[in-house]
Amino acid sequence: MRNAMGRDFTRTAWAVGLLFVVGTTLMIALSWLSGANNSGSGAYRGPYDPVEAGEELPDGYRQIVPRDAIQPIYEPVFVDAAGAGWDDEIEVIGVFFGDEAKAYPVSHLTRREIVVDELDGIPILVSW
Amino acid sequence: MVHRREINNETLVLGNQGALFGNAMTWWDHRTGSIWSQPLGEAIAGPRKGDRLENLPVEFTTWGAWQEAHADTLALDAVGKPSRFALREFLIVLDGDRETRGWSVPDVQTQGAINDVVEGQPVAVVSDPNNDQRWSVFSRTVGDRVVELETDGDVLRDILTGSTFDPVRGFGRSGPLLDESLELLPGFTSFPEDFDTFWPDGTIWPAS
Repeated sequence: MRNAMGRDFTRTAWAVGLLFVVGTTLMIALSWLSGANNSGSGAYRGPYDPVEAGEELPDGYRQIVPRDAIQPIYEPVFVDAAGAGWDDEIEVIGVFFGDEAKAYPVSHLTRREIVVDELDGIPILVSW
Repeated sequence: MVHRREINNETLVLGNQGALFGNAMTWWDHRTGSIWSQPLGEAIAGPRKGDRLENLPVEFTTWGAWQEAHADTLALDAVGKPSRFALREFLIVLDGDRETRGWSVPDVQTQGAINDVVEGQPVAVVSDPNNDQRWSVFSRTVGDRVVELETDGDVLRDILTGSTFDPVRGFGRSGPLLDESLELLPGFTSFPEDFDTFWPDGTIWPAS
């Protein structure tokens, strides 16, 4: 009886251990893939980096922080003008094309620096 | 600045390279990893080195002035606070393939409209007569004629025909050129020190 229970316990322990290892591996893989699709947070390691590759860089180039350490806004969300709640005096970057106009507060751009966006169907990059 | 992130029908996703080049920001593109200079809009390292993104017209202005001209504007869902920047500190810049010109914002505000020539093309930098926190850069070629612009009160007018135009979007409002439009050019604002760094051969109005 004791032996049978011991065998059951050992089997269960192995199963739990295996599940843990498989689960952890899957989570790491998914996390890496998510990063590769640029929606992850923190520094991104791309397919190629001219700096790491030792490529000659022009004079005046200075690496300060890793890629995307200042995280761009890759999936911007917009509200209508009334929903913004901004004072009239604040500074904005404004763009319009066709039927669409968009405004980005400078105070936010100075923090995030890049917005990967679209305007009237045209892919645009807003940067400060 | 605002760039069209598209080359040869390929849409680029760009991130922050985390480096400075000429004391200005750099990007990296997700497919090739190339490094891009923001003011130049050009790849400076990597497989895309030498490629350049198209500049698009963009305004640095106030939220109130922007809404006056674009009541249906969308707004980035973010907190907006006063920044430490003011329009008067900047140069308005037109960066052509062979020539780059800058106009100081106070000059544009004082003159109302500055008629100039860049790369042989007649252009005008206009301060919105209804709100001096707004500005535009237009081509002065309209069909087969060249206009000479001035602001008078709250009107943008062609001195030669008397036609008036919308000072923001450029469409004709009255006169012989009522059915015409001034083409908006991709002007942008730059700090004077960046202008000196990235366009050392650029000239600032008025030409000395």
